[in-house]
Amino acid sequence: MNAIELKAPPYPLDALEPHMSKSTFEYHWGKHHKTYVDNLNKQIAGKDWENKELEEIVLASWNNGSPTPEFNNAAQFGSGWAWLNSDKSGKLSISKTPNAVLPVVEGKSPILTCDVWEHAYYIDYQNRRPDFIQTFMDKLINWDMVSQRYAAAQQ
Amino acid sequence: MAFTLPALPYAFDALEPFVDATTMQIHHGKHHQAYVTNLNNALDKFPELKDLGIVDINKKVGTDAIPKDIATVVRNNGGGHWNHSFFWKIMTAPTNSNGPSDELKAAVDASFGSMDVMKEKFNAAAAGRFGSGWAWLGVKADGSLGITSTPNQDNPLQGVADEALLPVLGLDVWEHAYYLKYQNRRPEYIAAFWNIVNWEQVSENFTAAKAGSPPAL
Repeated sequence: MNAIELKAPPYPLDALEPHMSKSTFEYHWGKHHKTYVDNLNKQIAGKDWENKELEEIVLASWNNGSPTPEFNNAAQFGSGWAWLNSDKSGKLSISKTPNAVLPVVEGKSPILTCDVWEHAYYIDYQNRRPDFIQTFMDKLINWDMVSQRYAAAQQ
Repeated sequence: MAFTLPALPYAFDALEPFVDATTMQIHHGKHHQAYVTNLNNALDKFPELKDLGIVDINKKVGTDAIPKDIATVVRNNGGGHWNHSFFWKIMTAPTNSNGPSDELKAAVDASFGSMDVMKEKFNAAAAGRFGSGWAWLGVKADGSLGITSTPNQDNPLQGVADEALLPVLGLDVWEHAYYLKYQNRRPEYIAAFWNIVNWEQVSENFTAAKAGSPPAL
């Protein structure tokens, strides 16, 4: 059986203090992300998708715009994400998606994202989403990783 | 005439321990205020729409009556302003309410079988709304009670709603409504909500809805 795995962040949970608290990580990764993984694993158990990679499950469950129940678990007003994407020629674009939608369903390769569900920032910033976004842009981005993704998007 | 933030009908800590004072302070003073401010700004260029009132503005969401370039802002912030104005009033301090009127109880029994079944369905709608949104109990076109949920700041008065209802009771399930106290535990927040329902206001809303009117704000 090939269950989807909840991978740990590449740093200890307090590594991004004071900009993003350990408490936020305990909830955001330890509860929210874990719940998406647990629920997805329950949904795919015993089906074909059980042995597929996460990206395949995302694309299959997107189902051309009528997402199946598994999809929600694979700037926006309300919950969603902001994305910086690259196409194969290296041309950049910015997009936003609601809830759990992601640019791969639109054929785009994201190289940077910011989670703007309230659970991503409410403990540390409450309603002040712009402050969260500014801090994220100024202090929290792993530019090495973004650059690696940019290079990979063009291969 | 500009829209204004209505005062809360109780102190910030009145709904403790079920909704915490800090949440009420931020929810009312920041989130609801922002919807009011954004709505006023959007309607600056169309003052005749301001005079329509918040109910009619919501009814016109999704129609040509709202100019295209402000349609989304009006949907989100006009919805947000109506939703929160409605929401503060249907809550009250715990033990302050004497329960639903006989008419409302009878209507709930007729439409759902019992209060308990109605609450189960309402809870399921609230928990099942993925992302941000609201759960609603309201009167349908045929006079019976129904339950629905809407995304973001949509509401059943709007032309864009899946199901048209005159709202009687509603619950905000945006994370900002519960995150400080409940974090990811939305079902716990939903269960706690029943302790602070202002049944007298809800019963009045039901009376108005039966007569074909949206609830008084």
